[in-house]
Amino acid sequence: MTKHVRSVLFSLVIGMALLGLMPPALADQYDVVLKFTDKATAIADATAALQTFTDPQGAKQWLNQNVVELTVWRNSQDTTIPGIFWANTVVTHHPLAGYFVMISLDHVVPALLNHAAVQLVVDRDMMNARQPGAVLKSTVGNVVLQDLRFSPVFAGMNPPWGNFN
Amino acid sequence: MKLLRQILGPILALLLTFGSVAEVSAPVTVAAAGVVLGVGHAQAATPAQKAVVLNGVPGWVLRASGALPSIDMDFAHNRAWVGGSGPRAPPSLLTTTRASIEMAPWSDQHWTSFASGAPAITDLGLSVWQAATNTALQSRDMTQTAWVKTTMTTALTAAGIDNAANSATTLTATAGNATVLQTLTIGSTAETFSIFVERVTGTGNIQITENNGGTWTTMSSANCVNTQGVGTAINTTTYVRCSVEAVLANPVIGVRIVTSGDAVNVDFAQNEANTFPTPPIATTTVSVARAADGISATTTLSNLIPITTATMLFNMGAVPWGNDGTDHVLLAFLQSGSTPGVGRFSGGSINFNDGVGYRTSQAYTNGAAFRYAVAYGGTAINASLNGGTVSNYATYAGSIAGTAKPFKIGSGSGSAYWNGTFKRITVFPTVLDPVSVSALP
Repeated sequence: MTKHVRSVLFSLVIGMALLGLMPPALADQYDVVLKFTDKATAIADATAALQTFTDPQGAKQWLNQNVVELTVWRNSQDTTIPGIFWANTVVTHHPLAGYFVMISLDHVVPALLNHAAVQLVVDRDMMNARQPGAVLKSTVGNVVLQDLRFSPVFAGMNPPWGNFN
Repeated sequence: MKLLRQILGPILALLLTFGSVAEVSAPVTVAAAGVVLGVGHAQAATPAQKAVVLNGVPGWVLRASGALPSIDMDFAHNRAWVGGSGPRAPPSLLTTTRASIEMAPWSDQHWTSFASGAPAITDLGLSVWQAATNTALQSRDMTQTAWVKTTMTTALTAAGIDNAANSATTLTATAGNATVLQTLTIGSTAETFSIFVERVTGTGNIQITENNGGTWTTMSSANCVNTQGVGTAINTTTYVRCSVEAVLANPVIGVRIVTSGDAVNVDFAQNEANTFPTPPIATTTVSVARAADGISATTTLSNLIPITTATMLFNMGAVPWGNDGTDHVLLAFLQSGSTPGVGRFSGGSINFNDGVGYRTSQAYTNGAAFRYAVAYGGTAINASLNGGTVSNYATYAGSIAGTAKPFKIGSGSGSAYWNGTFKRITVFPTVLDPVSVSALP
């Protein structure tokens, strides 16, 4: 790319920014895993409740634009049953006790980051790029983290669980 | 990569704002006074339009009875016009909340992925979807052991719906009635199993099941669609998406090739707790969720939608849902409570709600693309669907009650998602004849 082309492109981008033609910049996505006793407790929590809406029946529901309920298990605790005839081996996961929920936002919310129920906070973009420092907070060490499995994950997450360094 | 996307995205958006590379129809150059001013729709600009072009308004901006809109968001051409400001890139007018990537279709039948927080806009329009979770594992790779093969060979060598090489699976039957199946452990609920299929060789039937072959449904134009939602039989040219839906527990999903030697390419097997298929979600070893699209108008945009007097035009693509008994909102005035705004209400009709109650109602053909215009002002609300008979409400209070900004596009506060595509939204700041407005392109 010539210096002239670079200069023109730079001017074009700056010009568009000044004119309001720039789409909003995409921020990093932060995934926060919280653990509560049950769903009612989670939804009643003052910080978590910020990610809910009231449905037409008056009940609070998770905002499914950025929240998903999780099943969490340890890979090492899976059990297997040999397949019958044509079927392959059946793997059974054993979910950890408690109610897990993942809240994912495009910014860090300190009240969420420092919440007592927080189990894990990652910068998704850094995690996907396998960059150091992707894990902002974790209640478990690397060995356990490598053994943990979450389902579902948000589309676009590429967690290194199982080979986390 | 993210930085590169952020730099190149606006440049592309600018090009598209003035209409060029993504034109679906044959472009024409709109010229006036010997000056080339831009590239617009295939329809020739009227003398009146050319005159307005001289005042700085591109020829593609919709006019009705000579009136210019305050907003014209032509998502399908990735361009927008804001009265008093000029051209804008549509994403710059929207605030999008979505914690996952989302795939969206193009008219040439391929799909692309949009980053979390980015509106999914293609030449078919702006996609707005509810959340969904794909519980089918290894959704693109049927060579994996999650899929049980019987007289079926599999190879991850086909180009997928995203045109990526070696991303989709080729299935070849080594005997008649060859199958590939996956067992899921799910409680009883309404489930839809969908899969993209492209024929490679042969002419025999290709079938789909979600009850372990208790019922095999032959793929045809009755249950397969292209990206525009048009029923299309499987063929050797493009992928089509085929689906079946049922209420059942522990579905066993899969595909059967009836004739030995026949082969198909398949991509994005998807099982979701919906009564219709939603955009594809890639999975490997665990279920994957696509977050819902939370799309709000920016303050700039919201301020240009009058709450007393306006005429709105919605140009909508086909949708995969029918009369499913739930609300599907086009534009929500309210941010909480059960009262949406403009939307399609359950019961096979499309309605306008002024914040107090549903005021107009028109019969709607399930799933079909449509143009809907509604004019509110003075003491009346008048709406027309596809240029048809006006539905009139004669005691409009003069203002949309309880208006809370910003407006939401394609959903209520966290529910009533449109589940389809917006080709174009145009708002005129005056009361116009909805019949003629709904006939605009």
